[in-house]
Amino acid sequence: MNDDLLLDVRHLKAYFRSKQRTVKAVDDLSFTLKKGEILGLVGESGCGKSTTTKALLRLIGNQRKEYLEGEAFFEGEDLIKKSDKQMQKIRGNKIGFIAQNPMSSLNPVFTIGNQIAEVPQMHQRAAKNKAWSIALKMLQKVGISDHETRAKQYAHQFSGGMKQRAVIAMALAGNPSLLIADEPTTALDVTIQAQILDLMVKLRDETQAGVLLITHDLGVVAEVCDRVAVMYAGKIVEQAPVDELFHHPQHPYTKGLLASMPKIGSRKKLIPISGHPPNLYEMQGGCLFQERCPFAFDRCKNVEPPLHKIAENHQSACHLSSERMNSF
Amino acid sequence: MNRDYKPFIRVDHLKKYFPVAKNWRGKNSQYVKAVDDVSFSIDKGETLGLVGESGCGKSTTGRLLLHLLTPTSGSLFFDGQDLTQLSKQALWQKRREMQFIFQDPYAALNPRMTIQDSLHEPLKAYGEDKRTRSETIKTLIDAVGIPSQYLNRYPHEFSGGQLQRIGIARSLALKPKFVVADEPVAALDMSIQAQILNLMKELQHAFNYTYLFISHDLSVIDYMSDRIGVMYLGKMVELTDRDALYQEPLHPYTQALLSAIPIAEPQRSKNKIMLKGEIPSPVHPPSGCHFRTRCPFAKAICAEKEPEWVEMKKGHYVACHVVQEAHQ
Ligand SMILES: Nc1ncnc2c1ncn2[C@@H]1O[C@H](COP(=O)(O)OP(=O)(O)OP(=O)(O)O)[C@@H](O)[C@H]1O
Ligand SMILES: Nc1ncnc2c1ncn2[C@@H]1O[C@H](COP(=O)(O)OP(=O)(O)OP(=O)(O)O)[C@@H](O)[C@H]1O
Ligand SMILES: [Mg+2]
Ligand SMILES: [Mg+2]
Repeated sequence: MNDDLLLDVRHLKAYFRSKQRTVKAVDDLSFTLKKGEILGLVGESGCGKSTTTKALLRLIGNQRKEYLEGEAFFEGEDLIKKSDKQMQKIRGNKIGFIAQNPMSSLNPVFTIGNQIAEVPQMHQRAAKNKAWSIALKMLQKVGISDHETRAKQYAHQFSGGMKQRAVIAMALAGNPSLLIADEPTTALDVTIQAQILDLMVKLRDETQAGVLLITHDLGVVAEVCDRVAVMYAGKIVEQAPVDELFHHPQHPYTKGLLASMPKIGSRKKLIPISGHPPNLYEMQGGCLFQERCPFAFDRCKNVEPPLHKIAENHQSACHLSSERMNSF
Repeated sequence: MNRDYKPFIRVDHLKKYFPVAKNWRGKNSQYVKAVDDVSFSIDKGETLGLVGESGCGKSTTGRLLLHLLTPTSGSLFFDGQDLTQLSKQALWQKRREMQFIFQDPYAALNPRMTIQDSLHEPLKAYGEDKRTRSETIKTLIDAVGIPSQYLNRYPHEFSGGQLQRIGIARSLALKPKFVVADEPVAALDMSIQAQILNLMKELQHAFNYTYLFISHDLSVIDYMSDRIGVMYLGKMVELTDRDALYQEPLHPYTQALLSAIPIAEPQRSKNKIMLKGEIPSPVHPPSGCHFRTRCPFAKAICAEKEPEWVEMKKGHYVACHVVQEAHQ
């Protein structure tokens, strides 16, 4: 096995079943994350990013209507096969998690400080006062002023961005070797965002932790990610090092994403990718993007394009990019 | 100036202080000055953008404007009426005309109600018949890109961005005259952001909606706003037309904000004005100008006297000693 490999996800599936239908939120997803690497996961709203993180952390898959399949090797052990109890030890300790909804990680009846202090107390058996001082330090690191007063406040007394930062402080307090961050800076302005991204990069630099960063902000991706995976309708459709992806996007969906970014100084009407993502339960055969793709042709209707290599470290799931390669 | 001119919305010397600590007698002794003496107006059909760092008081300002919070002091006029003086019943009727799009979409929806019911509820409360309700909801839910088959689901069965869009549809369904949109697209990827922003603009054109648009994203604010107000630590520091703000920002804080925007181009070096120092505490804000501890141009006077809110050019307001001196 490759020593540098931190996370190796293979054929991950996460479905939500109900009487009428099955929502295939994550469908046969594979990717790897190296130690010390920051991997960006991007894609349209509803494409399955959060479900991927919840599957890896086993926050879903425990109820009958939630179906989970595949493998996810973390430091050589398969997370999908772990018991609930084993996962409880891993979450918040070796794997830090910043959930998209900060309130899902914050308890309204405990002070923010107590909740952060609980992390070192539980996982590193830190003494109470030591844990409290770690909590204060973390609050300071995420840019919360007056941290001693603030630590004694409750979630409802924090602003949107302050709640988000409290959760980040909690995730980082355990010194994780893998950080899964789901839209960690959506509520933050650029200056504080820069500070938070800096904290993540530092964690990586100092401890060789790996980071799975979900964000819809391509500016953030460009600034901190080493590699990017683009997700569409439960699948990865393109994967490449960050420079390569921005300068030579291959998949028409990636190109559409890059084109729909607002730019300061240009008030041209923004160009959204036309159409809607497919319903995740009525998926037809062939390429999932075909209905919205300006380049779709016959083969796209019938054959699902596999993710294949088009350059060193660059993969794309599009018949067109393979055509081009084949014609070389 | 025209004496008869009455802006659609006007706030004067608005303040909101939240108690944070009690003294030994159990009396409140310390306050977060979340909004500290802010005055501005918004014309009918106009969009005023509000930007500023996390915790600077944007959401509190928005909530005060809709009278969801009672101000500590100051006055607040909506369509010629002083909201602070209205009876409960009159305020409830007015509420229909003023809607809030919440920053936290999870908090805006009842977790035990299907989305369908959540969407119908407010319309029903204001006496709309079932057919009109269903039509309005169908149109809006389509426009925000949520398949109508999803309507009988509960909030936890949606992704973060889907919930945010449902919250937007719910607020706009009442055809309000005034909408406070608090980070309405923060959780959305660029493509759907574009779709939602365009929708909000189209509705504004069609029905002459007035918006207070809160966002920390300067490119989104740029796209949406006619005028922009910049807040720092409970104060408004600059207010002007959109073009003037981006082309000739006067306040050093605005300048720093604009220079810190991440750009979606890896490896591009920029002249960032990094703000030095920590964000000061809103409980013990610095004397004089609140921004002086982080301002590269701060002088002695900045610590001594609070800068006044001065109209430097027509419609361009700034609170900064350095700028005001330079223009004398
Ligand atoms: N518990 C659930 N039951 C049924 N469907 C679900 C459930 N959770 C998520 N889904 C659906 O699965 C799809 C993927 O959701 P997910 O939260 O992973 O999206 P996402 O990529 O994180 O989107 P966003 O950027 O909007 O947060 C969505 O269409 C969502 O409606
Ligand atoms: N209910 C409350 N009780 C006590 N303090 C509060 C309350 N609501 C807000 N505050 C405080 O008021 C200040 C301003 O908060 P507000 O939510 O207006 O900020 P914001 O500009 O919207 O920030 P963000 O961008 O992070 O959402 C913060 O310091 C916050 O902690
Ligand atoms: Mg999500
Ligand atoms: Mg807010």
